[in-house]
Amino acid sequence: MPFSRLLGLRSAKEIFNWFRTARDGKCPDAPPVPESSLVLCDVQSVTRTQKEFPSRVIVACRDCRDCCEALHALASKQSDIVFVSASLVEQMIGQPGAVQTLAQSCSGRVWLPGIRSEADANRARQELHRAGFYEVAAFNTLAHPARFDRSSIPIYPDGRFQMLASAPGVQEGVPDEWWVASRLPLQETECLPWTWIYGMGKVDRDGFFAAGNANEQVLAVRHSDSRDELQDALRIQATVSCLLPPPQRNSMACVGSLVGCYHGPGDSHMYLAMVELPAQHTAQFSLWKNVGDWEQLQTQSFPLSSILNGAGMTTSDNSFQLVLEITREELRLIVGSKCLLQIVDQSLPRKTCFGARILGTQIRFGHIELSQR
Amino acid sequence: MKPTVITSGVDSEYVLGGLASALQAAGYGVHELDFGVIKHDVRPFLEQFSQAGVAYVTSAHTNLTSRLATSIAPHLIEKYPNYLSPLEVMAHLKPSRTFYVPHDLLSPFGDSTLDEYRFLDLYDHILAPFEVPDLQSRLGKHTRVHVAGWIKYRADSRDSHPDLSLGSATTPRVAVFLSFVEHFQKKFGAAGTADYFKPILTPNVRVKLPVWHGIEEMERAIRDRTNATVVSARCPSTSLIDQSDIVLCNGASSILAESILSGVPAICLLDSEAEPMETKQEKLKHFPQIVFHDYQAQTAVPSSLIDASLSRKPTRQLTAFDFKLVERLLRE
Repeated sequence: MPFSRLLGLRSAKEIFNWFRTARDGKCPDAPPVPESSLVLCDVQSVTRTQKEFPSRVIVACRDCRDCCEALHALASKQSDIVFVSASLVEQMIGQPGAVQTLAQSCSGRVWLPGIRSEADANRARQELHRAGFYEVAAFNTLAHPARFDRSSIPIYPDGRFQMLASAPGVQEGVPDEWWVASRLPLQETECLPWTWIYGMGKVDRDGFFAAGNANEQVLAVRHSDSRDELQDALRIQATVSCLLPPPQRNSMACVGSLVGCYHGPGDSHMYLAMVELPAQHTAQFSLWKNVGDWEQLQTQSFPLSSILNGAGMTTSDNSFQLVLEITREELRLIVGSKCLLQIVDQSLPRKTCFGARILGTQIRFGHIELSQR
Repeated sequence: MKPTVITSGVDSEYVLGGLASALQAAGYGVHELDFGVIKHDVRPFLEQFSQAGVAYVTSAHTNLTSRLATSIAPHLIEKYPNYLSPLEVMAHLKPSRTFYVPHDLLSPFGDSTLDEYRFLDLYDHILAPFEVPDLQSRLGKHTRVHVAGWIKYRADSRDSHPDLSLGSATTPRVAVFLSFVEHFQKKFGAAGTADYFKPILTPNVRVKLPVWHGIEEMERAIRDRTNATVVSARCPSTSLIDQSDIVLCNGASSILAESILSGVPAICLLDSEAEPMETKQEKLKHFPQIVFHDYQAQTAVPSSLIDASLSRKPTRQLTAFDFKLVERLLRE
């Protein structure tokens, strides 16, 4: 078996990241599991596992069937189970019956090596939730201090999930070292600020947020750190970065909005300050509300160059500051310091839950913040 | 030494009052958490028991956590901001023994949209209201399924609620149970709801609403605007069913299942309120004894339909809940 496969790595990028991590001397530490934990590893990893998990019961398994037999033989449920081998995890996830056996053998937490491929990770989370794991979270031992992040819970019976995280999307270059699949809610994830309402966006190394691919729409929201009552005005702002020129055939792939007063559930009950790039040199701005159905409140088009210049940006930056300001009476869309749209609307209660709703990868939002004045 | 027992549920889904009384009478220390009544954060309270080896009994939806409710049922969080699901209670309480008691006979082991089955193995004991052939095999060997009877049936104090003596002595004795009250309150208001059901709330009818936040306003409106006798929401539904010849209910409610399993004919008022008529019929498909009356035009139930229902009296299948079983399991 190739070395990369033994490590559970698949793509060239993953292999590169693993070597870089090893070179920097930052190998993931063993998670802090209690001494009563049951540890399952493959037969090649026994010596390493004994060093990493001293004083624990270690069961060496050849395959998924061995794992299931070991779990069936337990006299009572385990509070903590650790899987050391990515290959065993991969086999278990591939068999829903095995995941259910794992769930029914555990009353607390199962620790798994982080699954790095996004597609595999999504499938794995879904299988774990469907089998009866209430929460799945990443546990990053390379962070100081080690922390929980990217926590999902099942929203639908088929295991489809919703995520809480420290960022609005998947952060580039921040791999999950460990996963914790928990039967019960984790108290360690309660303060994660962002909720990925739907879609799985990406946050690049510059901190800009966009959808994961050209046809995807993402909506991520967070509660303000400040108190929930409106003072005079809510001011939601972000730096908008446009990748130009926009695609000519599908203008819908160039749409991004700031979200204000989000109530939900799902894609409902919120205000939007939207920017679209329908043509190469045009920017269209609009204010929207959803109180059950979408309604465009106001819209206007501008030459893109005037927006970029007016916002104090050069056209090579392709970025500008977008603000959605919500007072007790009205909504304002502001670019730079210039108010482009303004309308009276009081249909939604002024709530400090805010975020971004983006279709595609052509428009990215950075430094999304809420302030009050 | 007898363990401390913590119970939990919310409003009409909290059905453990009788069990709590029985355990208290047997010398157990019992703390009841009815989140319809509780107005504060109970997590610190639960955590003080986390090392004490307490027993936990619940009749609530296992995985309807506050986080999940925020996504799929935000109104629940608005109404019950301190609500904790059994999963959340268990995470804070760390009980040594856990029991699940269904509050619903239509879907006793959880709503299909929540797929609660996948979490039921977290309980040590499932106290099923009747035999469920495949439940034990689905939950695995670490959970024990017991046939304990229907929690709302108490062998010692049935039919004793004072409200029932106020009812009409005419025959047939008709009981109307209203469900989806939250939907009706929101759409029609209390007075509008009373008017909506006025055609069936006639003088010989007793009507009962579920225990729910702010239900008293709707009870008052029905008293003021119809000729039916309002039985308190706190009156056990089993008592009213037992003292009725026929039961009417809007929507696919557990009441209809409870009525049929209690040997009392039942009629479902079919309309499109709260959920489509097809959905209601689908949910009730396991109870072919239930008769449907089209209530879209808000018309009274024809006497011929009532007579036909009365002529097909179902066999009683429910048994009273075995409180002693819980005591035995607590002593193990």
